[in-house]
Amino acid sequence: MAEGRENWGTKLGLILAMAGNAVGLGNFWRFPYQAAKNGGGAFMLPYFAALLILGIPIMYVEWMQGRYGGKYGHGTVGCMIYLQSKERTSHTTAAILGSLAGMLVFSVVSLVNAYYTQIIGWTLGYTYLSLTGGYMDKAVSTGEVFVHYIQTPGLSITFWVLALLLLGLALTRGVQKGIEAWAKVMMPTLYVLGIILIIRALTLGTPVNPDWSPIKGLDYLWSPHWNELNWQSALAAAGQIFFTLSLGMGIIQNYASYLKPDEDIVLSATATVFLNEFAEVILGGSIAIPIAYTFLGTEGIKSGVGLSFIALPNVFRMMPAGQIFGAFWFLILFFAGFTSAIAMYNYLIALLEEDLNVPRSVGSWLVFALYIIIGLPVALEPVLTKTAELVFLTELDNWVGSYFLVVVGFIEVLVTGWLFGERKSLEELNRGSYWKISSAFFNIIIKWVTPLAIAILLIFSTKSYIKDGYFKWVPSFVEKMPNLIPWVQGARLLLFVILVIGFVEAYMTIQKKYGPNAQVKKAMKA
Amino acid sequence: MSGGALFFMLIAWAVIIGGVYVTMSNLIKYQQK
Repeated sequence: MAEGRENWGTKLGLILAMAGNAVGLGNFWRFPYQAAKNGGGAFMLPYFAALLILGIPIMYVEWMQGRYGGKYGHGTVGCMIYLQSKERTSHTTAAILGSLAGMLVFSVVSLVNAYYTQIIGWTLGYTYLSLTGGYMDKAVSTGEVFVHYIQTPGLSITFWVLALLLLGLALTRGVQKGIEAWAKVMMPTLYVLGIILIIRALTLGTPVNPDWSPIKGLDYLWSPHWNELNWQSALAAAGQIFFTLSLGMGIIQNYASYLKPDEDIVLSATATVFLNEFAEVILGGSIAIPIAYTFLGTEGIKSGVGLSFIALPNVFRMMPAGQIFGAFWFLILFFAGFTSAIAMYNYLIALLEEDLNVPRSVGSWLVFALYIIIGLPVALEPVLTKTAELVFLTELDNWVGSYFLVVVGFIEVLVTGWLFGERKSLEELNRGSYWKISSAFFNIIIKWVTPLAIAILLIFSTKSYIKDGYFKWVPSFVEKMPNLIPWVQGARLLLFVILVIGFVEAYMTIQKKYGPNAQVKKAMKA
Repeated sequence: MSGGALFFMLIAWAVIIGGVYVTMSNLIKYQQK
């Protein structure tokens, strides 16, 4: 059993930190875009179904795996999966399963955060630009402002490094004084700013065109389009649930590893899910789309990812007190991103602390250096190529930020459902929990329905990846841009190197702590 | 706003606000025990 491991200070701090972990940038730009594209109001049917059969069960599994691993001093997924698999398989099989999961999670927390922190840097930079009127000049299009921003190292790299510095500083202070303290400030502020922006959005009237109003924006988002409800929209809903709840990233387990061994899991995990949904469906669905629709009509909200950095600044230019509301919007994005990035950052610190005995104060700056090194190509691509395609980021995101999450989720539920088994899983889930998980829920949902749903998601995602040309040596999205092909191949090489390091690190740690030599040492000590 | 849109928005909001209320109030209740 682990001794001297840090715990969360308060229940409120834990819930806010976990909610902050789940609430991310995707809540604010990805949800409204996915909903509008995949059936509007009708999208909520597969969305809530996916929440019930994927989101909530996997959230329970991850909290349980984390608290279980924390009991043995582990905040990383490799050892957690190993310990659970070991219940019904040999040491070697469990070590391979643990190493595979550890490898994929290592790639997620290192590579995703390398570009995620840059987007957080953009939000910080745009908060600054909002306050200083940096995009208010109507003679320059907001698209040009954005391209100039990412192609100017003095802006893009400065704010990225600043965001990383803030993360590093927060994490040198540990779980309670770092993560928890920041979550207690940032999360309530995020909700308050979100509600202020909703009120502002819904009272905009019709300043540009009598047919464009915030209510019509909501109507556009929520009108059910039954003809658009198909397999693709169901898959989009399932993918969105994975993405929004930060599942399959190892970071929920990492936070749960700081729980006390008999602290509540089921109710706290459910509360986290609903707080995330509040930020996603209510705040995320009621700010960007109504504002963009009021000023730009349907064209403004079709821009997808560009909505935040290109369409909305256009609106803030026209809005009364637009600089203030622009700053509020980008600050919300910054807080949402920061409280998720801090979780990925902390995972790597925990890995250094627990697997390699590096103190937190040193580990925090080592991870800072790692993010600078592997994130630099993402920052330099637009600067050196004078493009704004961000193919390095896109290639990493296609694999590590999307596909791998589903694979990790699949391994997690299979290990819990079939190897850790009903008795131990229920004992672990229900110990100290205010709400209890029933045997029927475990045997029907966690053992069968959730793994089957993930398997279907994985099969269809693979088919869609093949169709979209992501498996090709030169992926389809970059075929017509030969000057950018080396950046995609570079991203793949980096991914390969990180996967190898991740596997070797997880395997060696498992062998060091639980391999035959560790058993001999333990016996000799005894 | 059309009836269909209003219906789906209100249902989604009700489920989520209800979920936040039930979970958070239960957490407070159990914490006080």
